[in-house]
Amino acid sequence: MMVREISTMTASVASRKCLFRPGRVLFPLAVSLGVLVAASLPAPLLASPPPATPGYGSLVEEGQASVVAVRFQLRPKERPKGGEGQKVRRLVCGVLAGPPGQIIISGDFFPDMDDGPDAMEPFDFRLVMPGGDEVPAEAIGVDRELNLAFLHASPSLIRSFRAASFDPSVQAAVGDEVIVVGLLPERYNFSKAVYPARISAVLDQPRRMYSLDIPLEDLAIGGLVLLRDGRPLGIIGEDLLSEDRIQGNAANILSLLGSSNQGPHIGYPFVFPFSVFSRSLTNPPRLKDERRETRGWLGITMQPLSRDLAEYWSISSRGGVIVAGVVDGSPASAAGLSPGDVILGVDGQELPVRETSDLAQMQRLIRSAGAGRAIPLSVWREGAVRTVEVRLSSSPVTATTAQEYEDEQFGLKARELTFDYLQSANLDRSTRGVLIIGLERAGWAQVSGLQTRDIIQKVAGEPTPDLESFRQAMEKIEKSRPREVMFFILREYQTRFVRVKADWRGR
Amino acid sequence: MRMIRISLRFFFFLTAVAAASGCAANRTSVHQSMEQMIFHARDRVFPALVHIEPILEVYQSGQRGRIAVTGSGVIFSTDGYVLTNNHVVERAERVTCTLSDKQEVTAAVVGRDPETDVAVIQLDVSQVRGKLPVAELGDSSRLQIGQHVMAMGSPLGLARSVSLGIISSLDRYLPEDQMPAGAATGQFNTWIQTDAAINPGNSGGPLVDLGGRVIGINSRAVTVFGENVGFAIPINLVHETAEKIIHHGSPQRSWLGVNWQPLKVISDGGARGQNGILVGGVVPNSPAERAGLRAGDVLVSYDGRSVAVRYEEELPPFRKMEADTPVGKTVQLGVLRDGSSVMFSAVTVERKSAEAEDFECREWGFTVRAINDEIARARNLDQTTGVIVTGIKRGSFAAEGELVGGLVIDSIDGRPIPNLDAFRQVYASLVGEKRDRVLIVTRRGSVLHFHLLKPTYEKSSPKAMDHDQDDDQEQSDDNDGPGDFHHDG
Repeated sequence: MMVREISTMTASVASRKCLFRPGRVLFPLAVSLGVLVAASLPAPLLASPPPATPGYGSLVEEGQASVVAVRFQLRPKERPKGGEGQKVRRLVCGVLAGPPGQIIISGDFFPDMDDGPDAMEPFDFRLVMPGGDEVPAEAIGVDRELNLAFLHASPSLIRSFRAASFDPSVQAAVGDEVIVVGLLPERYNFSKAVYPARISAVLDQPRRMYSLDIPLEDLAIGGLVLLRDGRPLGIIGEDLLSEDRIQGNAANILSLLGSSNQGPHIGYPFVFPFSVFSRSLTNPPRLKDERRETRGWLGITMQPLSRDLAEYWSISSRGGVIVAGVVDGSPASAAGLSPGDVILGVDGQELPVRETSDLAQMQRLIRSAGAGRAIPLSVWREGAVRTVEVRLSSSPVTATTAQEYEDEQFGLKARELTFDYLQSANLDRSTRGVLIIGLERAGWAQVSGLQTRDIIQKVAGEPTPDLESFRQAMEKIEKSRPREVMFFILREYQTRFVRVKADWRGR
Repeated sequence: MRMIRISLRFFFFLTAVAAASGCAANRTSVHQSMEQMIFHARDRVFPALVHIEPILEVYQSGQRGRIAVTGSGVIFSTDGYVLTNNHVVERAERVTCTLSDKQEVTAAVVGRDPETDVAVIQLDVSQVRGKLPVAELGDSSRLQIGQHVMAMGSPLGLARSVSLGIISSLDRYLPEDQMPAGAATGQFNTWIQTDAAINPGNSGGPLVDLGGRVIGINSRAVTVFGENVGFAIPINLVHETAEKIIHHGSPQRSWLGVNWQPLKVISDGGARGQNGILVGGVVPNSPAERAGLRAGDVLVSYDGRSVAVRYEEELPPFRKMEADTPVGKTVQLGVLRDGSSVMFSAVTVERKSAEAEDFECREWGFTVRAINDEIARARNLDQTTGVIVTGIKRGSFAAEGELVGGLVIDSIDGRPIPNLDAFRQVYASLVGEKRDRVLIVTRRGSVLHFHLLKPTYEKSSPKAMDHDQDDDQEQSDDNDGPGDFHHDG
């Protein structure tokens, strides 16, 4: 599941997947010198870049005090029967910043509410103290946009650390020398390590970010970045690639396998300057506030406005979102959007969407605008652009978030029907029933001929238009224990009856 | 059943069936050796055996091509009519036959029936020197399990072979949903299962009893997990279908639009002494729906005759009864609903085939197919307008425009595409004017997709050379799986 790509965009720099680059050879050397390395070793030993001035001295010492190793474990979001599920230990580098006791780490490991029950969620956070003791911490919030998470530990227990003191006026330009403070691996007691580097690019999209001219070790990601004079500039964050881009290119995944960091997402490390995360720092988006009901939803199926299509329609924009489909009864439908319209802007922001992977931007804008808000859309239709105001609603249940019901007696798992499933299966929106999504091997349901993707519409004569009625019907059967149960199902385009036998012995 | 499901495939141009010995014991001397009976049967049928080499038109990977295949057939009339399988001569551009005396004769396809896999071709008798040998057709209603049979034909392209076995089963039912998509046959018959070797190339060849009479046409075999499991269509159904094809050009079947299920699904054998056939579902806008039938009804009489289907292998005879009803006839349907008897009357309509015409857009690199009622139903399309994309040529302008199989084309450059004819016209006119930007709008359910094709045109496109039918050229011809929509939230 390893996934991070190399830090820098500079072609000349060796990538992480390369096993024999100089940095790695030098590693043990650096390690043997422990923490002193940073202060006393000439930089050229550490990495190729700048002919750095030797000795960072107290400049770096100050920054180092805010970098901390954070341990935690991952477990399945939904626990399987008979245990808690397989757990995995993880280790990341964090930075103390903001209110007392607050630590920033990568948000990579925090599953989104759209992730299924198999997704892993983190728990049991511990900060590793200089002597090896551990102090418990608690996750309080995740900024999904920035992919940063915020932990909190009791300030009295972590007195040996000092929060980084960021200054919003600190900026950097291409060519500036910076110092990355990260950690060495556990077997070297998480000794602090510094990596001199230069800013190789300054980006403004999707946010202000700096790229560096060196590859970054796993435990440098999440680390602190200082200017040459010791003033904190920001932290090493990751700009996540969208799932589409990852899935679309097998070669891309292969090239990412070499790394040892194990977040569930793929991203490129960049320096996130303080200005990017300052707002979240003082007021992190609370995990417990993440609720589907608050998230905005428009109700369209999207296609990116490619250059070809833009040219064909003579649309001169930096991109856009083609409305491919409109969900009945959605805000989009209420606002009169129709397939073929092209959305060029949302709430005054233009939409530089050219490819499928860019669609996530639109999704983010709509979601974060929030349910209940009215926002103006700039919409192109047949040559003219006009403004359409839509009042967003909350997102309805989708296949990934739908309720499921498992019946152990018959060995079947069913899920409520969702609008997105009906749409993708080409089924009428008015189709009712519950969808079979799993069958126990050689269970009664499977042996009797039920199949996954069958839609159960009746059980023992009782209509089962939704999951609740299905649950009730199955519970009733559980009580009366009939020798067989008639299921009435829709399979592909035909209905049929299936008689399912049951064996209640031993129950 | 699972093994059959996995392995049951048409061996295109290829299935063969095996041989047999016979029911002739009562008619031949008990002293006659088995071997002599086989010789006798062989000599009666071999001369009428035909080795068929059709050139088929295929639409694959977004282009139209041809393949040469081999199959078998048997002459059953002096007019030169030959029985074979539909799948042997389906989409045949040219059919060349080799008779038993090595004469090569061309043949024309008289008619085909995909639902039974029966086809009739006619030899050009003007080309035939000498008298045309004819095989005698037997009576498949009098067969017995265990009886010797022989499969004759051209397995693997080797002309004139015979293999021997027995009838293993007579009521083999192969459910539609366990056959390869689009190749479901056997709706109106149970199969003769035999252990006589059937190999690719045996398709369309006769299954012969020891008396030298044709009792079946070999059609399928199980290949992956089975050995010596071949299936033949009973000759009585073949003969009847062939006669209809010869006289009417089509099998002319009636249809009510019901998904019939055996009664055993809802009641244990004999428990309630109930007879009838379960209505598992009713097709929207079908005669059955118009008549008022609905799922859960039990049909107890059909046009005055009481009917009973307790097990699924009893379904084909009933379906045949429904199919044999004259098209447009009003039939009385006696139904048991919630314990009381109700009578409905329905007017049958002609049963339509799912076959539809294909078309290749050579200049743009994809193929399409017309949409008929059957295709629309099977794909849950809400209407029959448009054409369906069936394949995309790798690296083509269509592939660049992200066209994929399974999509329905709604319009091209703003011109609506109600059907294949309209599509052909629009295509021809755009290609004629060498249009270099073509907007194709496709639809899946209510969701549209916009594809921009940017074709360039050669002065004259060179004739395509024989392209390999190789699998890795195949670009998923149908990409119908759920889940590739992008929603906003």
